[in-house]
Amino acid sequence: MIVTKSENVHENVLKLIKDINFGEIKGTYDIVVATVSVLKEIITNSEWNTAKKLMDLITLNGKYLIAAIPLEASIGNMVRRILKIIREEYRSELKNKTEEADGQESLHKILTSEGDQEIDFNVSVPSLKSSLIEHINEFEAELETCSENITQQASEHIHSNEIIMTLGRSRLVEEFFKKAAATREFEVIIAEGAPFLNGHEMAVNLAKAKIKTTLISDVAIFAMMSRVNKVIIGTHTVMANGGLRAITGSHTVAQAAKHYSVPVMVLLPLYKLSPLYLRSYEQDAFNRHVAPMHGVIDGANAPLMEKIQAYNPVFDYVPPELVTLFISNTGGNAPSYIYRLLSELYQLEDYDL
Amino acid sequence: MSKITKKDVNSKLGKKDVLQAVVLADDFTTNLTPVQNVYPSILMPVVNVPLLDYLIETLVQSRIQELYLYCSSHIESLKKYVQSKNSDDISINLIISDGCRSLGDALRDIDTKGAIRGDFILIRGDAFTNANLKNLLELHRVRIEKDKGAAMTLLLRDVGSTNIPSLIEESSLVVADGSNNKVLFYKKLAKDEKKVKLELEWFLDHDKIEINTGLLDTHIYLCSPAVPPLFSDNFDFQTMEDFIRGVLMNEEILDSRIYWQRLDSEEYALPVTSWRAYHMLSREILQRHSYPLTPDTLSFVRNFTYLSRSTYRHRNAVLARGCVIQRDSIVGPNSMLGKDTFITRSTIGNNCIVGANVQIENSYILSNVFITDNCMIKNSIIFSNCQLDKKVNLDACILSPSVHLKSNSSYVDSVLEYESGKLNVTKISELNLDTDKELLYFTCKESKDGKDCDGYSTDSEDSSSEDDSAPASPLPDDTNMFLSEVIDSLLRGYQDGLNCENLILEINSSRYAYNVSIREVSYNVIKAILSLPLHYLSDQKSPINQANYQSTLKKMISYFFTIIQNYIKTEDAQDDCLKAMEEAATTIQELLSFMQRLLHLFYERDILSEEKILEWYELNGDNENEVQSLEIKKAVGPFIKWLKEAEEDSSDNEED
Repeated sequence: MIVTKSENVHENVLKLIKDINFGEIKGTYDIVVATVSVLKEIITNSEWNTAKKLMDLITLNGKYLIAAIPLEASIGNMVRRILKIIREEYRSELKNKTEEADGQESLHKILTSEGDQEIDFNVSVPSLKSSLIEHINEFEAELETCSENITQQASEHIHSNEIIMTLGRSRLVEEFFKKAAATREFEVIIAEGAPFLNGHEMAVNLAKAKIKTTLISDVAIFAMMSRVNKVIIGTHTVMANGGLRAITGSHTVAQAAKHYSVPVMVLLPLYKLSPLYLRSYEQDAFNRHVAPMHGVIDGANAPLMEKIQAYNPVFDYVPPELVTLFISNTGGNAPSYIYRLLSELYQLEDYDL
Repeated sequence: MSKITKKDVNSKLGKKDVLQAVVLADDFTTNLTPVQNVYPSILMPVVNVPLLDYLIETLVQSRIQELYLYCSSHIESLKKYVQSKNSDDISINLIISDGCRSLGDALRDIDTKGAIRGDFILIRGDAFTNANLKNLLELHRVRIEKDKGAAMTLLLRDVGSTNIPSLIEESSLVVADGSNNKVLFYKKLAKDEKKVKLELEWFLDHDKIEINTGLLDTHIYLCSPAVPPLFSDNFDFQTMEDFIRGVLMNEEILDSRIYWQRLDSEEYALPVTSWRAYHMLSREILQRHSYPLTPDTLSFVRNFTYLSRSTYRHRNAVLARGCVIQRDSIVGPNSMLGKDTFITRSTIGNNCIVGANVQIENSYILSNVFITDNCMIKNSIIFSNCQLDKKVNLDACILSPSVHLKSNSSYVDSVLEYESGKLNVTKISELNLDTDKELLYFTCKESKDGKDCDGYSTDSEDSSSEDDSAPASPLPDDTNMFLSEVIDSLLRGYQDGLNCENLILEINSSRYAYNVSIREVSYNVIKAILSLPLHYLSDQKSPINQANYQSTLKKMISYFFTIIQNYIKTEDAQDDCLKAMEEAATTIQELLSFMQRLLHLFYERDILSEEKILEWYELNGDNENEVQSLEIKKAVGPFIKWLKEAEEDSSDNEED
């Protein structure tokens, strides 16, 4: 990794980029936690006196991070979340300062209050730092309990003797099944998820947890779908329109489910919700195209490789109309409700960093 | 030259853990003419990025902390390059040596400079890989723990078959112990070589033997610290092949062994040994075989977008309306393509300006090239700063840097370069022999393929015909081998119309090789000639019948007359000759009826004397227990009768 050193970029940011690129930090959850801790580090250790300066600092570092690792949309999500937290805290601190007595927000006040544009972020608020840290600590705790909150809902969605299909391996989906299996019996059909074949590992883990498990090849998805009650999958990112960026094969599963009118449920920890849209399939950094030797064709066949052209995309885009329900840590939401979640999580100004 | 960085200080504290790599900036070959005049081979841009950038990326990913860059030419540009690559992750040190002309020299120099402290990775200047070298080095270390004399691990990539045009120069034969990957034999297969001798001991001494020709040398070697001293001790090691051969031959004396390691099938490696390999590498990078070393994922070349059909476009590249980029292509930053320009399987570098209606196929256009409207560029390489005026037509050309071509000019199959201010055009096919084949990837690809395939198929036929002849004659091994050797040389000589004198020399040398006595030689030569028509006819795929056999034999005898004369001089030799004829006649049915004419022919040509023939006839007569000899006697009867009469006649004449 040859990183052209920039004066303003925090060294921990550079370290984070390196760690992610070297594969030392893997999985969206770990990346998210690492990102938040780096951003927290910047807030505590760098010099700033106004909220404006701090936001510029976070934006600069955030932009650098996103540019370096464009595929991990959750990094951008975290940067936006932190910015939103800064805004909120600043606003409340400012209010505390000016009108000390009234801390409560009434509906009337929300309606009559003026937009953010009018707030001057250049006022120095000394107590901002401590309250920010407090808020971010809360946020970190929320991240920690995120997957637990989702698995808590397992028994609401999985009923006795149901047959559930999933694709490949997702840690969250695995926990979700295990949680449900504690109280009831059901059957899981796992599509192996070629070419990476993570489904094999998933099948072993579920079988160890005494869940009735059937592993099928991806070609059998459609054939098996007719007897399935529910599809539950994980995702890498959820786009702003409710479309998924999930592992290859997800689109197949979702379409087969549509054909047989099987509900598709997607487990969505909210840090995976991104305010970005899919512009086109040729979009920069939407998909990761790895070497075709990773499971598609045999590298030890040079004469063949010379003649053919093979593609090996890691992700599928699943349009929102194929998704029935998102199960997030705050409860179940339909894809049409995503816009509302977005406006709760992020500030509109930060959508485009 | 070394920059002292934080890492350097750290490395001095914990010497053992620092992983070192030595990269030779040059590969000391001229296969990529005229690159060696422009760049050191390590800075050759592949898909717009110098090879070294890819290498450094791989090394950093593999946690290699120290890189020694050994440079022997283009030192200034390397210095400048290293200064621009100021990085915390890896410290790049230059080792400069001006007079170095071979890999052997380089390693001897490295040995005297003493920069190497432990196991290191040796990378030749044309290597490209995305493999995790750290894991491979770990494997090498495990091997050293088991065998203290493990000097080197060759990294080989299994490509299934190297019998494809772009890799044919690279094909090699690796014989290794199947249980621990110890290399027993390693050889680059020359293009015209059809036979390789396998030692019996390999099979006797090892339980499991692996023989492989589908392995590709990645030009990356995992070396123990013993390697540079080995080069110093053996000053005749010039190339890596020399080294491997030398070490394998003197395994006991040097107490060093060489192992090999197969790259994971997901990992990619390909050395740029020729323009064909360059072409293949560029295409495979664009087709993402080398992931994550692809234009859109490399950290230092941002802003490339991967589009369908393996095309890439930089965010700052400008494409005019109607411009088509068909497949396996890349357009670099700040390049502009004009209206209706068509591009397929080509790379276009930085800051290029291409006019309207230009066609570019299978070509490599490096940075800052200016191409005007209506040009046609096929199968060509255009180095930086070239300028092409309107309607220039290029096919299979290589343009050196800063060449300016006037409008409406057209070149085919040429290297264009400026020499003292004048444009110099050299035909590629007329360049010296060892390079032209490599360059020819551009043209007449198909015809070459066909030829290569033929080469392999005749090989098997040859060996089978030898096998057929072997059981027919119950001779001791060496003599038998000698016979088949003689048949081989004669057949080849006859087909290619070689001079008989040369064939005699050849036969004599095989005689010494197989330690055959002179009498056996004359016996076997005659036998070979008599059985030759059979081999010849089966080679020509014509039916073997009496008429065919006899007519061919007649032709051959007149052709090989000098040889027969050379060997059948003494009386003993005549005896052998007759014996050989008899022996041949018993096995070859077609010869039997021709026997008496043959005797007549030899008699007339003064090869066989009358006395000898009669003596043989009488002697043969005694040997009545064999049915065949009777048949022969019957067959040659009329001739003997005639001979006896003639003798009487002549004696009568003498009396007169």
